[in-house]
Amino acid sequence: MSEDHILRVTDLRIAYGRVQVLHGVSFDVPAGALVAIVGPNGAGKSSTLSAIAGGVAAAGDVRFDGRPILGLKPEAIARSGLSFVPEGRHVFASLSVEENLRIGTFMRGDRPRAERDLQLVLNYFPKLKERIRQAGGKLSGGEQQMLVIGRALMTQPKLMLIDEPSLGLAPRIVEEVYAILHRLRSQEGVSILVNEQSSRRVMNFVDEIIVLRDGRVQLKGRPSDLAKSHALHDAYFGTGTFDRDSGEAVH
Amino acid sequence: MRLINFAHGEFVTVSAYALIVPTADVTAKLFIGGWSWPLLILAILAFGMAIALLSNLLVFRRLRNAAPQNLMVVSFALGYIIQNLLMMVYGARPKAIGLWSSLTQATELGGIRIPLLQPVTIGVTLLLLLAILFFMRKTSFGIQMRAAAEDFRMARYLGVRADFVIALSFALSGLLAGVVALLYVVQTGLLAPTMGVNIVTFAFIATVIGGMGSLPGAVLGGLLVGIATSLLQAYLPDSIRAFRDAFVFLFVILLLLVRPSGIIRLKQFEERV
Ligand SMILES: Nc1ncnc2c1ncn2[C@@H]1O[C@H](COP(=O)(O)OP(=O)(O)OP(=O)(O)O)[C@@H](O)[C@H]1O
Ligand SMILES: [Mg+2]
Repeated sequence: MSEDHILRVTDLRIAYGRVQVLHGVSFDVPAGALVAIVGPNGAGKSSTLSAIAGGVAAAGDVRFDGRPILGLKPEAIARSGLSFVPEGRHVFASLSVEENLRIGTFMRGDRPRAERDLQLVLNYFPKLKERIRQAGGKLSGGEQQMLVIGRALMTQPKLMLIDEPSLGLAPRIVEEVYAILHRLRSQEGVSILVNEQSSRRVMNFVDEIIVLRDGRVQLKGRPSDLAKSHALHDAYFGTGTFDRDSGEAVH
Repeated sequence: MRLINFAHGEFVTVSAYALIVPTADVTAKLFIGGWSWPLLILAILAFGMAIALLSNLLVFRRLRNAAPQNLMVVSFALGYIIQNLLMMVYGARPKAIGLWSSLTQATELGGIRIPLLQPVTIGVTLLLLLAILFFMRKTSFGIQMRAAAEDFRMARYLGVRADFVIALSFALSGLLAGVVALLYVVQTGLLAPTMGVNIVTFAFIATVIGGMGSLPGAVLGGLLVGIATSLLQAYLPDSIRAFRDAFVFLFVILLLLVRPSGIIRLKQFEERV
């Protein structure tokens, strides 16, 4: 079972001080899949990804590639092949585009591979190639989003976690970003878990959707199945009733 | 970790005191200071690095999540502790020490007579500056340090080892403290437990007026403070020359009134406000 799941999250619980924001969240990411967690503001999406990447303390169990990673340092988790692109991009503004990209390669011992990966990333994001010497802070929002995804790729991850890749981007750019993520998944074999507020934007690209609201998983399923029923809408807004175990809507 | 380390002056002092045998005697007896010069330089630089790394290990490492202003207070405290330890071991009185005194004798250079130490100091400083620039821009460690300085959390998510980068910056600062110790001792011929205080005060001022966090800014600031000091030294009337430093500080205050964030403003600091 663990071979076909790159990530297994079981009963994940997070509290900030006394406020519990995640109440036992469980889900899996199949190897080679593109999965989206969707949910309204404050649902706990960002907290979930941060906890998996080692940035926020959490209880429960998280297995990456079969190994428990909860409680490890962020850099240790990154070095084991899980790359996290947090909310708000975090481009190193004073570093050049190339330096931003190279940061991701320093933990790897294989220089020649790193050079090839740089070319690969630049092929995926041709706009970065034009601006390779420019300071990261000078890029447009869309270019910065490409840069941080490219930078995460340079660590040669098995799994990428990306928090709201569409945030602040024009619809056309969002399409472009997701098309690239889709290609990364199918051509490079990278598993990807994204967060989004709206399921609408990701429907056409992802293999599976997990609806998170009020710190609980409300619904999981393939977008094609979810699109047919009202379940997705109901789970997202907390209207209607549905059976949590099967994920089927009960009307 | 954003640390303004006021104990840095004491890193210099400790490196300087390593030159002599640790006793409370009034006259200094050379210890490392008596070794051949390549060995001496290596040993003092290593000593500077060791004391800086030790401070990290015993103090700063444990306070990584403390607020910058608290860390600054801690660094003051650490500085005082080191000063007092030095006083216990070496005595509180300044000691004369003759190290490489040939460097301070005036020599003919391009038609003017100056102590050889001055061009040596300038040369060493330039060389170090270039070396630091190269290290920060071209090596993987340097790029990791710059990334961590800008966004520590993000750097860690990309696999940059937090402990390592911090230790590396302490080692670097200790190395520089060793260099400063040597140049300073040769120039003044004196050791005193409080000798680091003045050095770090002026260095801090130079950084602030140059623009916090910017290497070119620090260089520019250092140059300005240096020029202001020597001009004041040369042109102030005898009766008030003793207050030279007060005038330097006045100049600094005026400059900061005009440019509160220093001469070279960093984009990243502006964005944060
Ligand atoms: N560092 C923090 N300290 C205290 N509370 C926090 C912290 N981070 C998040 N929270 C709280 O935890 C809850 C979940 O936040 P989280 O950022 O995970 O939600 P989200 O689903 O990502 O929301 P959004 O769509 O707005 O990004 C919110 O109520 C938020 O206020
Ligand atoms: Mg969020």
